[in-house]
Amino acid sequence: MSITNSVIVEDRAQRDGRRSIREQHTDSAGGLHYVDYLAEAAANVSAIMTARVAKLESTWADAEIESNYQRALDQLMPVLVHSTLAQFRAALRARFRDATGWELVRLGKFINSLALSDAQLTSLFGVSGVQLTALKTKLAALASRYDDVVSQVGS
Amino acid sequence: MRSGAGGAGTGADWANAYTALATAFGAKAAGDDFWVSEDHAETQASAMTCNCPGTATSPCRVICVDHAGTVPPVSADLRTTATVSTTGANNLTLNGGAYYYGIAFQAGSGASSASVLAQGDNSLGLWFEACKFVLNGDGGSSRISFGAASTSGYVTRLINTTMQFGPTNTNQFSTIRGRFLWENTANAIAGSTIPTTLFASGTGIGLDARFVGVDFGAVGSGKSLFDHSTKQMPSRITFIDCKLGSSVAITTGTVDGWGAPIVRLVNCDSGNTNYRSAVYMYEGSIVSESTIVKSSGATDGTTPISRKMVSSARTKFYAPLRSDWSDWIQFWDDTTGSKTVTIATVTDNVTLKDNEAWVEVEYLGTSGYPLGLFASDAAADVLNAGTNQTTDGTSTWTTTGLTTPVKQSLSTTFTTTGKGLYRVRVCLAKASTTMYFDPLIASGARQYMIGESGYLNGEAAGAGAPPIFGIGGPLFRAKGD
Repeated sequence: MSITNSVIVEDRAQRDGRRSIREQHTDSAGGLHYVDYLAEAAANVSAIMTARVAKLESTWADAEIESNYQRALDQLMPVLVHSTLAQFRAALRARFRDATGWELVRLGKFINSLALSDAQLTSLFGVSGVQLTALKTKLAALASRYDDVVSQVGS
Repeated sequence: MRSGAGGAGTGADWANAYTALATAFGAKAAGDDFWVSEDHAETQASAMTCNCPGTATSPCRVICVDHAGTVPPVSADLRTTATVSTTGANNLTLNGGAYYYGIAFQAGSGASSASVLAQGDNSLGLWFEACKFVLNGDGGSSRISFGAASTSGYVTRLINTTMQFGPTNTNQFSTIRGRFLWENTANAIAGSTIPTTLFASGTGIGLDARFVGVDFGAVGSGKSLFDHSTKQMPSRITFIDCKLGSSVAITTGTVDGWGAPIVRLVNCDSGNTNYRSAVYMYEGSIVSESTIVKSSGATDGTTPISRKMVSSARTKFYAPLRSDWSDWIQFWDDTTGSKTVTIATVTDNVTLKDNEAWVEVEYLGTSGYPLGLFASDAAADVLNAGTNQTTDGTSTWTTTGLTTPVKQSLSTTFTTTGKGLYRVRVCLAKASTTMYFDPLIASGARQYMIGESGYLNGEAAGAGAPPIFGIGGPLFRAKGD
């Protein structure tokens, strides 16, 4: 999602000459986002606002990817408003490299559930042939381990 | 430990020192001390995981010292020059409970994404003093991360410890979780590349973060301190007595949900002030204001101050923007009996009803017990249509920038039965509304006010007895007392 419009809705001097600023950013879904700050007296707030736009979009994407990773661990599909499916999959790959223990099991379960094709797995993990087979086996094993754990009940 | 040691690697002495942190950790036990030589410069071109054996009851100490000094080391031997690094797209992970002194933890190189992950574990603590966290890779996914999503009950404390990002990528940031405290650090953000947004709370668990006496002066125009968006965990983040960069935004991102992070600012600024406060949350924001102020109202003795409340589109009668998220206005009451609290307000062409804005007081009104009772001038219930709050024909406000000032007062009367603190908050339930209020309460002739946000009623210099300091902050007499 991108920002379609940005305006300064408040630019009001404070006693010491600094200015109370409110930026209003409208996204492509019509949502309003505000940034408030205290600007120096001579600050070019329009330029600051313009420079912020691209960074805001990037920040939203990063935050959403982080949130979607947690959703993946909870076996929930991602919500893609500010980020793309490709970005999400890339994040999964990066996290899979570093994950251990129960986090790895949960992540493996989720990736396995996506039922990615061999071509997609190759593209995502950069593996083929024997390594691809091993990866698929590992994902299946992690999914099985996850299912085994969550199926346990007390007595 | 000494990376340049050429001995047996047993850790028995400097000649036979371990050459790697992870190796040393693996050979020792909870509660052990680890001495790291001042010239220890460990580098690994693969992912590094250092599993300190420290536990909650017996954390370890990992301290940089002069290897040519006293054995065992003494205070004069402390150094701050050891480094532990990874290169490439390889993370550096610290697990286990430990106190670290004088070590730089560095991850990545080139264009890679690599993070420093100080994760601890359930119920553990991580303390870093005179340390550095450095991201040398330029990948946008690089993080300085504290705590892990799947752990709980741990604390991280940074003392005189810095962070550095870059070399050129401004999309990196620090992820924080659990109980996080960062104190007493000059020039906290080192290097020439400053992240667009400095902090975000991590997913998985909540965050209770306090930054006290930290110099964030490098984080200025176009930057933000905290991203409180996108389904983050319930968190409270407070900056107290910190230096900020010019024109920095405190928060960025769209707050998403009633349990979203609450970000507070207590006496932090880029200039020579002592009154700047703010809170940002799902219900809206409350910030200190120095232009639209009431005559003979709140002041630090030099600068008159009010509070500007800006409600979000989501506030409701049962979920208003409440000023106690910034600070309660608190009084010590030496006398019992009937009292009236009145708050002066002003808006721009908005006449507020009592189901849209009101004052609430929590007071001691139960004889024999310190049980708080509440008094309010809010509408009787959620279905009440509401009546206009009282027009304030007495107060004089500076209303520069307001086209049609509307002055009203919020007032309630109650009877106290015991000596003690009583606390006042202002509630704004009307959505998407801006209201200014004067936090100086007209409640009798003598008022002592405590606020974590600092000055509410400062005595002018030389105007009378000095302030009395009490619990939670300074007590100030109202002007004219």
